[in-house]
Amino acid sequence: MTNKNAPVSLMGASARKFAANRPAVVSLLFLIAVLALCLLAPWLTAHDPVKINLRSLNQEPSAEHWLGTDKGGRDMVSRLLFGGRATLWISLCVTAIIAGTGTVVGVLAGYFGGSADSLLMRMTDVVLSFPFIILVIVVKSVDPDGGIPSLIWTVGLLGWGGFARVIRAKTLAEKENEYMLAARALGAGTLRILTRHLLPGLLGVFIVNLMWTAAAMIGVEASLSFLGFGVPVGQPSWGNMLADALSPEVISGQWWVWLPACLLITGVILSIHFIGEGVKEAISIQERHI
Amino acid sequence: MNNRYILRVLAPLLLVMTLVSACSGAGAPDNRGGNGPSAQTGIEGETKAGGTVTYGYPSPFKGLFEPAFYEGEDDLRVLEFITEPLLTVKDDLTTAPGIATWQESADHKTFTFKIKHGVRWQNGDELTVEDWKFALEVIAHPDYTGPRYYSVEMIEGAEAYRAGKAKRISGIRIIDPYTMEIKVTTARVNTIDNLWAYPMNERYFAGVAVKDMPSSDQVRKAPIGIGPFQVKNIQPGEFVEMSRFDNYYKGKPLLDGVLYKVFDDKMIASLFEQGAIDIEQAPRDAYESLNKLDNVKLMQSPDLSYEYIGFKFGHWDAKAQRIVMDNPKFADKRLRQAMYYALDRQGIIDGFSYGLGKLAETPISSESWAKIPEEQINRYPYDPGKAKELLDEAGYKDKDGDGLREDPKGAKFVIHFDSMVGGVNDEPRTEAMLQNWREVGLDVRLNGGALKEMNTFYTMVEEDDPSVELFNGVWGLSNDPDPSGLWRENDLWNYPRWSSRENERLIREGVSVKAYDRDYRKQVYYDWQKLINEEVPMMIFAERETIIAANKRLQGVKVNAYTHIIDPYKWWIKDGE
Repeated sequence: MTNKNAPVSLMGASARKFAANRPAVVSLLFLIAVLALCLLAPWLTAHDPVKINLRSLNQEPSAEHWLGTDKGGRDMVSRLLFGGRATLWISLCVTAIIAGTGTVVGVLAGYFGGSADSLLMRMTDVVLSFPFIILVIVVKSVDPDGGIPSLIWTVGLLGWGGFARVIRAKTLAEKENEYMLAARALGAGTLRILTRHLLPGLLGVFIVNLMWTAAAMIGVEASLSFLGFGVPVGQPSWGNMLADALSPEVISGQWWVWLPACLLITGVILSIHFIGEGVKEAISIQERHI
Repeated sequence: MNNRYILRVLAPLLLVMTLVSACSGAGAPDNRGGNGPSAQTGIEGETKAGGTVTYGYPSPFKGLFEPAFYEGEDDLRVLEFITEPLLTVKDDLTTAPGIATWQESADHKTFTFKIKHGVRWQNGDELTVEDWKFALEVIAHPDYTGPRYYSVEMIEGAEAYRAGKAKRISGIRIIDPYTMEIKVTTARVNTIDNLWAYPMNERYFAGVAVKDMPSSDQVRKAPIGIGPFQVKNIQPGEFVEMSRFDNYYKGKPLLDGVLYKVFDDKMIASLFEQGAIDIEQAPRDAYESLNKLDNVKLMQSPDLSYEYIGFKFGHWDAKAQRIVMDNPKFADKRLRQAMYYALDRQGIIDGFSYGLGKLAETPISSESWAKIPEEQINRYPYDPGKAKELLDEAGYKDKDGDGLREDPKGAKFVIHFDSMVGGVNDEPRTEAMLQNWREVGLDVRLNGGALKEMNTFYTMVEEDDPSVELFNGVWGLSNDPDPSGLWRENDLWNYPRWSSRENERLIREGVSVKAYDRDYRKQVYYDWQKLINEEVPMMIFAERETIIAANKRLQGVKVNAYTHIIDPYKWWIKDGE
């Protein structure tokens, strides 16, 4: 009974701890709202985010277009929502690739040590030392029609180095814990030890890093698109919307073109960080108990 | 444009490649200077010497600073400050005497030119007809790779010289240092319009083989001319510093110098506001923001140019020096016409160019006497319904239900489109075109997912890069309506690589002896325009309106249909503005 209840009450304690963290809760609500709006975009707006409308170029915010239109006569609200889908989808996919690759490499290197460790860590060094932007530009010119999927794969496969290092360090520390020794002494197989005992111990670090990576990838999408190497020109994404601000007339005279995208990028990145902090603190309760 | 290409320039003055949207065209006469004001800043009278003017250009320049070799308006703009042709063009687009005057024999085959005494090169040499002869020989030389052979090929013996069969061009005879006689092979009505009229300093190029000239220091680093400004310093792709040439034959220039500098066009309004640029041919999409500035004057003039969207029909065979029409993709005329009907050209001009442009359907300037009246041609009005009908008829149908048409054999049909980077509206403007075609079910995509810089663009188009299928370019025209240079099967600049027997016949007929009869010649060009209008080897988009923005402190600037660099020795700077 006690055993069964322990995790529940720990979860409860974690949840209470998280709930007590005001910034984290507000951030969570904000993020959920943004996600919901973006996901529901096709039902929320009647305007096509890509379709050029020659009769409504550069319009100020109005009842018809709440946030005005851009230089192609495209409704900014619908571009923000559909752009959010692209940006968040890229962030999500890239994070998944990074977290997946990084965890596997980090755990294997940390747990097995020795030559496996050396090999995997040298690979990580190679990935970390790759000139990131240059490679993205090269891929873009080799495969110009690749679009978003090619961007996701390039960034994902180049970005897992840091993640793997953190996971490896944590694995090295966890490995020395007595419960690991106990598991081994009881005759548990490697796979069981890894999945049932080691991975749960990494959860806290994993989640926090996951959050930070997701936030960072939103920034990466925005900066690559701003530079013209990210999401193909014309497709809505928050980074592409920011790129419109390259024109001085837009920056000084058409705030509605760039300010909302700016605020959303900042808001989403900030809120992910706050949530990450909240989760970190909440999970530390569990870790103390372990 | 950008960018952004060479070839022969025949008839029309100069054919120049220009940027699509940034600058509207550069219809600079190729081998003539323009004169005759159509708009102008300031009043003449109290002028003042001194000061330097910054001339802005939106795309990196190639740096071929010799009239015989340059290709695009990027380099032409510099050449217009540093040198001049020996003949000029009047407002009615006819060629007139300048430094050189001429007499034509009764059979129209012998021309005797006399040039002014005392015209100086910027290195101190005196200009003689030897320099002109040298320029003609360079262009006719077997190793000459530039685009201007057309402007010397009418000279007797030029062909033999080019083939390496003769040591000199037999039709050129020097009588004295200021007199030269040129014989041409056939009497052509536009001989004098086409004849190359820029001199090249023979002594200055001594020891440089013709094939090395485009990369020589004389062209790239220290070009000289006979114009009002001389080159002081060239930073490739960035700027050209020019200073006053005191021995200019028309008189000492008022300005101390001109700085030709490359700027990012997106910044043009703020650069003008800060006074960083004094004069630039402005992108049409900056029209509104420039118009709001108190310190800027905008001058407008119709442009001798047209914007087009060309189809690739084949490639250029460099060995045979002719086109090969071996690409069947756009072979069906109905496909080409359908794409033309599908374009909302007026909407695009109104939306992205503030209406600055005039729809055109044939490649002859509406300023010209040879332009066919609108009612005699198909104007290809925006008509998606008609476009769909034509596509259905041609067998381009959506067979797999994805909303996009497959080709008549049922295979996926994707067309790649190329255009140039220029102003801020390029992206939505291009997107608007792509969507126009998508609306009728054609899957047209941006080649490489992005717009290209002018020089890259024109290089890929000219070299027939296999990825280039549909391309959005601009031609600056010369004064004579003869389409040679851009439309014949042996024209490198025939970028679509399209021709037909009828096309060749009509172009030849337009410069035949019979064409000395203006009415006959006009009819030939009407027929040719009807042919182009029906065949649609390219979708002629519009003629453009040039906007020149000049800081109000700069005085004496005039613009006309070919250029805005007219007599820059008269430009001056007014204090206090």
